[in-house]
Amino acid sequence: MPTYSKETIASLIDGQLPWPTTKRIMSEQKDPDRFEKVLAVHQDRVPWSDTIVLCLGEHLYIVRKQIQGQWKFVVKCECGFEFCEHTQNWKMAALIYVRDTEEQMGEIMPSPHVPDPAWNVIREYYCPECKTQIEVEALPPGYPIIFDFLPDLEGFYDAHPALKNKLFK
Amino acid sequence: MGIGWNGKTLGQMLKESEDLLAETGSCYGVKTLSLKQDDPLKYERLFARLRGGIVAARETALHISASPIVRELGELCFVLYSPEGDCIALSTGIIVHVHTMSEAIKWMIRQNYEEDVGIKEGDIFINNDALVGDAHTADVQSLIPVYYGDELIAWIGAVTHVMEIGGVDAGGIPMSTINRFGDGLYFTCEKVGEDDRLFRTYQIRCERNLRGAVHWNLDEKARIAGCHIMREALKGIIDEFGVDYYKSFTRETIEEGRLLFSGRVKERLFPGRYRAASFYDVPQKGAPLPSIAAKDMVLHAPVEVTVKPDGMLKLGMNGASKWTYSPANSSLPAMQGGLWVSITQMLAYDGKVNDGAYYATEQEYPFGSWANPDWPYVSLSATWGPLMVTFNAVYRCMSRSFFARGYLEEILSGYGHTGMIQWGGTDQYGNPMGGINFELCASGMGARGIMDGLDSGYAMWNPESDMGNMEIWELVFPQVYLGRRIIPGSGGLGKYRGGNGFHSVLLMWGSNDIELTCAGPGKVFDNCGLFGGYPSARVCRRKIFAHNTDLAETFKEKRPYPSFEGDPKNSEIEAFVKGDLHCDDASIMFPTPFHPHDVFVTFWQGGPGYGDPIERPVELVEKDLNNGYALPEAMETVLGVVTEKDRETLEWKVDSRKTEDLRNRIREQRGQKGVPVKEWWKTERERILNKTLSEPVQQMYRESMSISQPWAEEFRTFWELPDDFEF
Repeated sequence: MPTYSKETIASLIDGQLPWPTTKRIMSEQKDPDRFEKVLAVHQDRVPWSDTIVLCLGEHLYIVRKQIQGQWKFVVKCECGFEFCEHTQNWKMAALIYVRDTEEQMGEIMPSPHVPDPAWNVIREYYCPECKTQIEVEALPPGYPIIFDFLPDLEGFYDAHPALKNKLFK
Repeated sequence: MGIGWNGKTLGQMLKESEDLLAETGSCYGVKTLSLKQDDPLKYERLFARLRGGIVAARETALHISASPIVRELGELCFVLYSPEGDCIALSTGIIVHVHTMSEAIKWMIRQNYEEDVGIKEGDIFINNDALVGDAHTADVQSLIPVYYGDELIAWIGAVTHVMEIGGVDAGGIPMSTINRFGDGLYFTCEKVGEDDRLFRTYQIRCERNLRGAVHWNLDEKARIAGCHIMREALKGIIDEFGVDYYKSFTRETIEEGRLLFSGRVKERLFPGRYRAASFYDVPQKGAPLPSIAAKDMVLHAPVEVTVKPDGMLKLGMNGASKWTYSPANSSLPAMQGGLWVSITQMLAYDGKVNDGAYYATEQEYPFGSWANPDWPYVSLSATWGPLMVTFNAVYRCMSRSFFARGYLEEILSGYGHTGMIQWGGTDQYGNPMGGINFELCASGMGARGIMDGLDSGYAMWNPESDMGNMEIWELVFPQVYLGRRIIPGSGGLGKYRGGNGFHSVLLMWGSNDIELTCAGPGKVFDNCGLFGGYPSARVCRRKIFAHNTDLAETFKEKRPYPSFEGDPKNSEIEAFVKGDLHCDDASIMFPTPFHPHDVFVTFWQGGPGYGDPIERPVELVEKDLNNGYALPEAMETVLGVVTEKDRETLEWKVDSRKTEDLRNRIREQRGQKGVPVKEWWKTERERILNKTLSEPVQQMYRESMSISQPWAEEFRTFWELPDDFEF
């Protein structure tokens, strides 16, 4: 099984890896330590010390931290803003901007090529603190906010006991 | 005495295999891969021989005889099956059918074809019934049994996408059909030949009921020739390895396929529950259809992917809306095929790819929904319409999972829907004509987790995406290409952008009897960006054509003519063509007559974007602008990149300082225009309580809530609605 340096993984995350190397990584067997290395790259970069246990999305993490004496998994933005526990939908604690007119949608795509706003709108979710656009939804009006991903952290870490011991100290 | 192994009937073999899977959890109850362990080289050699044989059959067959769709774009596939209909090995091509043909074989077994119809060496069966085992009517399958001695040792299946199916509209995908009776010729696992020869009565039926049966005949010969090539190869391989070894091998290799797929799920995906939703518009209000069908509809494709720690992957569609009186429905085999073609591109693209992967998945499609209709006469002409949007949502779910595991290079945020354009009437040679211009097989690929998506280079249903040479389509249809070009800005924007779509300007010629049909999702988004990226532009919505043009004079006088639309605000079509110009945003164009020197513009969509647009690397912006792949205004307003065109070199350059300032301002603006979700929730809830949503959307919710109680409960819970709330 291949393994790559932390620097190589960091370059991959940044989209800076030369194409021949990227292609080789794509074609080869997967490096089994990737998960751990990716966490380590992000852990080095974030301006806080809570332990990242999962990368939920670009700029979005699940961290393990103590709250009132109990260990919790919390959805946290790279900037430090904490949304909620991981079993809840972080979008409910975000800022939202809805593009529900042809004019508003025409700002992000060529104006004749927009959908019918009575049938479909665009919802943009921003971090309340750093204002990063974390997620976008394209849905009919009235559609419930989608809970994109509810990870089974226990299931994953139970299958990876060494990693669990390391991160869940 | 049955025709199966050891005197069993095929029905007994099928039941045994299903019972063993249920009892042991493994295919055929195989506990260990003993052949592989004992002599791995022999084991792998046999698999390579089978795989090589089936691929060679495909490559040879398409060069023996095939329509342009099949020869140019590889719209065919060959598969080797066990007697029960489980895939052992497959060729390249439209691998969506690996499992649809499996369902067709199993359907024949369950219908007791062994006794009632007879299954003999040399028989030829044909199927294009998606309720039985297919993706849609235009995908035509040939299935042949293979005997070794007295036993049916295998089935070989072949599928091609035919150009014309004899439906209510010309072409393979009639759009005016509202039920099965307008879809065209149906062959439900029909025996159409014996002793390796097609029945003459069957051939006459095809010749008399299809527009331009020559392409049908070419494709049928390709399918049958390929099946026969593989049959002979298979018998030689069995002679070499021995029949007992071959039989044991097939059991083991399918179980190995299951184990490999489960292992791949465990390796690459993160356990948990993933959700996404896509939509497909069927704007038929005012269309020349019966009143039951002439209304606007939105199909709801909610997707829930569950990844279990043991490697099981489950796809559920709780909340899917009802089937429609339109060609846009699907069926269980078609949905299973859709999952197959998705997972074999995203996860199981190497190793032992066979039905073992299928047995490592669970699927659930609500009965009565468009994905699993409860009306046996539902139209299944354009199943790919809603099917493609569904698997766009599946791609997003799986990409979230790749991201969580750190495998960013596997992320694919989705793809552009491929839409459809179809010709009918009389061709330039004076013959009846019907067919799809398959240049559509090259939409924009969605952005990846580490790079932009391919421009005009992806079709989820054919991993070997190709738009084909213009000259081929000019040979087949009474059309000349005036131009073909990428549509700038058609890919969804983001940190990485979706691949752009393209458009072609077609000039009619050589026939006074031409009709065109065109469709694609436009009033809704069929895709959505990932992690802050935007969905792609709705270019499929646009329908531009011109009748009674002055292009004959234009060519005579050697004046400029349009080769692309260009900036829609300053369209080349409008600038260079005088005539009755038509432009609308209807999404669907029902059969419309055209005449020589009329012009039609095709539009093929781009893919969705990835990541926050204001994080797009500025060097990629420069590259896009200098290649003509992006619109300058959007670079500033959406990406926050300030650029300037050098007056001498005419090259775009980014102003880094102004860009940084602008991006900071965009963040500030987000803070000003964004509202807390909890506040927005209150106003949106009022709209729902007051039922002020558009009728097609309300109807969609009505249907989803009536078919699926769990989805209805979640809807009411989210919006805190009364228990008896209904639209």
